[in-house]
Amino acid sequence: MFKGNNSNNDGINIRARRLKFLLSRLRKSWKIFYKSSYGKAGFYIIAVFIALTILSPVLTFHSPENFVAPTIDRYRPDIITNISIPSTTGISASSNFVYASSLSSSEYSFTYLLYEVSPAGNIYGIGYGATTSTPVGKIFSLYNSSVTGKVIYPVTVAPLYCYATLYTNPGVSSTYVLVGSTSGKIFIGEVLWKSGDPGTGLPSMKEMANVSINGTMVYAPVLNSEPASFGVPKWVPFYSYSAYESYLNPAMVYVVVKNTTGYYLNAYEADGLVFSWSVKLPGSQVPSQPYYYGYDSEFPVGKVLIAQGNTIYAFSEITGKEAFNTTLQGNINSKIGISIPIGYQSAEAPSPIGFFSLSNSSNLYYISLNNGSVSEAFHAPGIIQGVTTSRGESGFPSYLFVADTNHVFAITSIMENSSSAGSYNISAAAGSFTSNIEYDPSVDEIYLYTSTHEIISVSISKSGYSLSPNWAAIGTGSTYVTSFSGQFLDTATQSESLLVTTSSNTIEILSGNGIDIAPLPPTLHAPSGNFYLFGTNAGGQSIWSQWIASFPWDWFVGLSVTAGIMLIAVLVATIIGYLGGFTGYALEYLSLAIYLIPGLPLLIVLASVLGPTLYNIVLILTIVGWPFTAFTLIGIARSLKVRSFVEYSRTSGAGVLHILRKHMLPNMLPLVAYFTAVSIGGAVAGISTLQFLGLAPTNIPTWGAMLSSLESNFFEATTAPWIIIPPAVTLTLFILCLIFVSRGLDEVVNPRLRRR
Amino acid sequence: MEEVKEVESKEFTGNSVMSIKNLSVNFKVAEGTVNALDRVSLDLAYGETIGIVGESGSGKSTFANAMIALLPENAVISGDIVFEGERLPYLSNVGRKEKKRDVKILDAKLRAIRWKEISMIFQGAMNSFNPAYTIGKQLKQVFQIHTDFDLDQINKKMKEVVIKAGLNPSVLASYPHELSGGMKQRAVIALALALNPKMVIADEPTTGLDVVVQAKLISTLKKLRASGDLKSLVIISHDLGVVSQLADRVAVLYAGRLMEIGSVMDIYLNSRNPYTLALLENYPSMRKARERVLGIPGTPPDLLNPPKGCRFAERCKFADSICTQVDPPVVQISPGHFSACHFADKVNVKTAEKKYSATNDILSSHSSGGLPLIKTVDLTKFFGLRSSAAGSIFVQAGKKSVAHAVEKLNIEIKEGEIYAIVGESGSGKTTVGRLLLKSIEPTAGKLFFNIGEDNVLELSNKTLSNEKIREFRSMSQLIMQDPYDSLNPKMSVFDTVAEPIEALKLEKDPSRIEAMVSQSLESAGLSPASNYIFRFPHELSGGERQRVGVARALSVPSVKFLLADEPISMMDISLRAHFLNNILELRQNRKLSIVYITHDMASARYVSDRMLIMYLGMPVEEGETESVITNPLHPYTKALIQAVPEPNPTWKPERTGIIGEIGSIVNVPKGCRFYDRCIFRKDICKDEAPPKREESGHWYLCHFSQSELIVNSPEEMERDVTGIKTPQGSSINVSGR
Amino acid sequence: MYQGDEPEELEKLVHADARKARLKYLLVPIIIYSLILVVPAPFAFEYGFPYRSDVPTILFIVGVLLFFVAAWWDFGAKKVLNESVRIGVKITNDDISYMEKQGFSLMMMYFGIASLFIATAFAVFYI
Repeated sequence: MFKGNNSNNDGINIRARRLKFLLSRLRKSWKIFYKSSYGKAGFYIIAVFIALTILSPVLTFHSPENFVAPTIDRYRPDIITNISIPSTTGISASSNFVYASSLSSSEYSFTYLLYEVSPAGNIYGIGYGATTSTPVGKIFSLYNSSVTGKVIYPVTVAPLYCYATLYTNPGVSSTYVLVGSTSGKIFIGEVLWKSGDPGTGLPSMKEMANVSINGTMVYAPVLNSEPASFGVPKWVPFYSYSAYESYLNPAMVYVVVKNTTGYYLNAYEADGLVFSWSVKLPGSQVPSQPYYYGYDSEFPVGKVLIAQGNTIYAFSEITGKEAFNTTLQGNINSKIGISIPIGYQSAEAPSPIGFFSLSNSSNLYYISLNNGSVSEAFHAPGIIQGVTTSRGESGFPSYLFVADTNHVFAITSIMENSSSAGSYNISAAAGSFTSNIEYDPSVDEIYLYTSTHEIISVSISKSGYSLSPNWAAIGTGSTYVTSFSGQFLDTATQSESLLVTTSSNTIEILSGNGIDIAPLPPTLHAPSGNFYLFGTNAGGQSIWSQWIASFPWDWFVGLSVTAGIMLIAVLVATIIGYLGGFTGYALEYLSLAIYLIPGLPLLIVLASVLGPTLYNIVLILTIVGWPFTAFTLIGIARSLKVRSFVEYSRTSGAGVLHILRKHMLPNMLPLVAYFTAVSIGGAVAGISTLQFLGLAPTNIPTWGAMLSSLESNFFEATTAPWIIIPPAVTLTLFILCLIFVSRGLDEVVNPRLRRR
Repeated sequence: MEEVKEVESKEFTGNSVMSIKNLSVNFKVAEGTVNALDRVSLDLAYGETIGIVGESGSGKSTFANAMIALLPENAVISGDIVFEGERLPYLSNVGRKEKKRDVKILDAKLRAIRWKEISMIFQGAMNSFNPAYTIGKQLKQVFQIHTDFDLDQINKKMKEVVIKAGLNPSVLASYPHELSGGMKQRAVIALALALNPKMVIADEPTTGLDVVVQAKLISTLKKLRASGDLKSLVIISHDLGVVSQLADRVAVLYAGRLMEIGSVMDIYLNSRNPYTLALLENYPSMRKARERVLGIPGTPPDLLNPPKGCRFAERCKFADSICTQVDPPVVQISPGHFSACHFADKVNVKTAEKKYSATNDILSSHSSGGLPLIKTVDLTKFFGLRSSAAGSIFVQAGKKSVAHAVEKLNIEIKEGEIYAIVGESGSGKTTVGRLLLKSIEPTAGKLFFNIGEDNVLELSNKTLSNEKIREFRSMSQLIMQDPYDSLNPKMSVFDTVAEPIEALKLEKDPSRIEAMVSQSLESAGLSPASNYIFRFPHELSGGERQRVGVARALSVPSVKFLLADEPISMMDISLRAHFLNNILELRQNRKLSIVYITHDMASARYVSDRMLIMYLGMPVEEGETESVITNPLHPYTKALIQAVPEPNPTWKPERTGIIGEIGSIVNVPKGCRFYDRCIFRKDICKDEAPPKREESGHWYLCHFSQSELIVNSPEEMERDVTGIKTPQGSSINVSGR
Repeated sequence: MYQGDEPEELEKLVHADARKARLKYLLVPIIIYSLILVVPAPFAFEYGFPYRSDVPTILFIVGVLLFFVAAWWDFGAKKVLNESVRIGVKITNDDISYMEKQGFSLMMMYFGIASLFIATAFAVFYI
């Protein structure tokens, strides 16, 4: 049928037919392979592996090398202490705690007290400090002659200076508690420390001076002294301390009173609650809370601002004379009120200003406290929820933080209707901001309180004016309720701490900078909006990404090592098996030597000598691996050499190369395929061992690298099993399925074993 | 069960040792089920010997294994085998899942029977001895396992059995590799007779042995049967001659079916079954070597899906349409003689003669051949241990360490001539073949090869240029013995046949290579070439593989010299004739000169023009085939011719005039190498090398002329045996009786 | 030329042959030895190769290696055994003991040369 003379297409014809024939043979051996149960199982697992390898770039959500979970996800508040309030006292965590550090001289003293007034009118203090006398969490009653009527919250606790102690220890204030009650009375009392040094020993309260007002209080009385939590106030209540400060105004208590004829703003002198002045507010709407401006001693006279309806009135602190009034476009947002940050009351500020926003408006305005002119400060995308400012220590303009429903903006140059420098938007999961922002100057952090009862601490980097979330206190069991009264230096732990009341009737002191709780367990929605299907490892890297990314790398190592092994093994086997002679002899002893040296120590020595780069590792694994395969192939080569078809081709004048190519290799190939499967598994196992022992570079994402973090700390495997389970399981499966495949190939390699 | 003392004429006593009723065996294989045996029934009486004859793949071994219930797990057996009235438990019944307990009972029963009641000589058992143990140790194990004799009882029994098998008791101390083929086979027989079982099954006991050794073994078996040690025997072989000697009744098996069964006389002299007749026709025996034999066309059917009707139909000359539809009935021709054939009455020896042998063209006389293609002058080849540097250190001075493989060979092979080299295994004929092909270098002497226009290559000089060697290679080719091993399993037929072309870089263009390949395939008898080209060795039958080997040798157009090294020893009888005819055709139309190396005298006579007989490396006789065969001169040639089995019971193996077995080529006697085994030997033969003598047209190597060759009497034989340990039985079997 | 198996008068020939083969075995280490000593010499003079410190180390290493090689190598005895089985020569027990004796003597010669290596190493180092 084949006449010698047809054209070249015959050549192609042969090749095509030979290809077709090769396919049919492949199909037949595939059937044998598939029939063996091992082959089938191995095949499917490998198919999954290959699929994952191909998809791995897509499935890697975070880049495995340098991704680290954002701090917001990794840090949790570190609950330093947890004080539960006995119900006998009648006060409950949900009521309003006021924090007042018992301030002695300039540096902070060592005991802090929380003040709370029980419905029965007793004032309680909760000690918190390291001294033996005021053990942490001890609750004691400061003043038990009842405050008549129900308390109007919040209670103000502020440091006041009294003339009396001017000479004995100048600049030392003592803490006064100001309480307003529904019985129309205001009470004020000083906290006395038996030992004389505030903060040590058991505090108690002298008789509280009180005065009754002619009407009902709309809000709790306000003091023109800075709330204690903000450190050393500038103002002294009872005396003017000329040597120390030139313009000292007496401490005044302001309260908004409502009686049949309308709303009045009354002012009393704090010392003995002597009535000073009262002003009638012209409007009929409910006025806002009074805001005091004038902490800084440089300013002659402070002012009290109050807004009613759409106008803001400012009255002189001492005389109550109206300084100015400004009408606004809408009613003031009473939740924010008028925020007069201290920074803007300092001398450097070009002109003292206060910030306010209108009810559910997304604009922030500022009002000049000299003449009451209003201009727009900032336009936020959402409704403004809260305003705070840095204290300006770093010089003016200290920047402003404005929070709308789900953003916090750090704004710098206010005067020129600034653009927002940096913004941090709260992730949807955590709800929106509901309350004012707390600012802690010492660590440049602000605290946001969200509708899902979360506290998020955001740290400010002044250099780039960027906001980066620090940690989030997701309600661990108890939801955070009511107020949280800002920052204080916990002398016990010398760390910035946060005081929080929880719904389960406890007060928690949280450490400011939070603790790193990585490795994170698998979560679908972490605070930062990321998701970690397999959680993260101690370093905060997402296990899923590392796991997926290591598929191609492991294949790479496996295949390259196997290629190396097969190349050398076949070469060595043919030299020793077929050519024999002296070189064959010497080579055989060499491979025997390498084979006899125990694998692992050799690996370790080579790895440490050659240094831990990936290519060195591949080289080492090849060196250690090839004798195993070579020995079997030597056997095959030797048996092939004496086969008659080899003898035939020798007698018909075939060269050595021809014989190697035509006879030796094809007969070795099936076994080579078998060994390939086995040694890929071996190579991956090899590199995993090396990485586990720390000899190989762990910056390459392989399963071994993922396990290497375990070597130093086995305990972690029990606490964070999600770290080791994926790599361990995949490694075992990978090696297992390769062994299965090799078992299947074994069927193909010598089918005669099975059939008759 | 009484002990029956055998008498020369064996009459059958009462019930049968074993009766088999339509036994059929199917093997569950990857591709389906192979129907190895189909409804075979047979009865073996006490003291009776049954011969089962059939080609390879006819199910003989399956039948043997079934008898001793040694079939593998994937065998499904139906029908039953009754041994001494008790149904022989099979390992796996038809489709019934064995419970663990049943299997255990089964095993216990089987173990009781095996070797005590039925023992077996497996196929190729002689080379499955454990090389690490002496024969005695392996024999002792049989006793230790099956009997509770104590040690000296066992030793006595062992000596007794070994002597019965015709071995020298000293064999018990030697290791398997130290014994020759014949002696190992006798040891196996001793093993089988150890517990003097009631029935022995011998599966191909004589294959793989040389003709002379085979003849001796047959006579030993006959003696054992006569002496009653071997009670009833089932002998299974593809060699009709061997079976005709031993069996009382013969069953002919083909593709799993019983074709014919009857007494030895019925089958051999008056067979009424086409297949048996075809076998008898094609059996290469000396008497018929002259007539042209056509061989049985086609190949045995594939038992995966056996054909309907008679399985021999498509190869049978008498076949008719009915044969391929209806299973042949079992026709009784005479009491005890049945034949499964539709035309049993019409078929007989005379009618078959016309069908299977082309009586008209008796083999024409061979062409005398032209110029001498190959000439050797004193070609010798010694394998010395001391040749290598290491060898010269490690071999002791006095030690005899040189194997005189070939000594002073002077032959001339002309173009177009078929030259046969005949000799037992170990006589150096393969070494001669290798020398002629220059795959090994001769130690001394010259070898010339005429590459045309009488420029003659002196192959034996070492400084031959590669170019010249390549030219010689392109003119000489080799056909190998083992069809299974000579083809690379991973290369398709096309690549195998095209290999010499590529090896010698004669041709690059694939289409021309394909043309050459398909042409040589067709000339080797594999047509149409297209459906063989892309098949693989494991998809071909034995015969086809050997033809691929031939095609491979012919693919190089410039081939002038072919060396065939025992090409047909592994092939079935039906395929041998075809192969030999193919060789004759090739010599005719391609003017090839062929060296045909064999140990089978009959096929040498059938195909060769001139013949050389070799013994222990020495050429002992050479001449025209016809003159060597018709009047052999050298005692060795005489013995060889006598030893060739005849497919009829009248042939007496005892008459071969030779002693013991071939010696070793290392300690070669000084004088005539045939001294140890020559029944005409005199003292002179021992010391002086015999000269060449010329008589009736060809020469032979002996001190005495034909007339002077007188057979020594037994006493003389005894006297001359000095020192040289001739490993032959204690009673020297002097021929002529 | 090749000598067959004729007894006695060939005894001497066989022994001579054996001695020649033994020499061939010993030649290789001797060549290495002289190479190591000779080759670096010219470099030492022209290019200031630190002959005194480096050559001894090489010698020492090769010496130790030679010890191992001598211990491991069977000097071709295994090949002779395989060859004798192939040819059909019978191997008796005293053949094997003869072989072991020869192997042992060759090994001792190698050890001698190896110790020579090490001795020269120290010699060069100290002189």
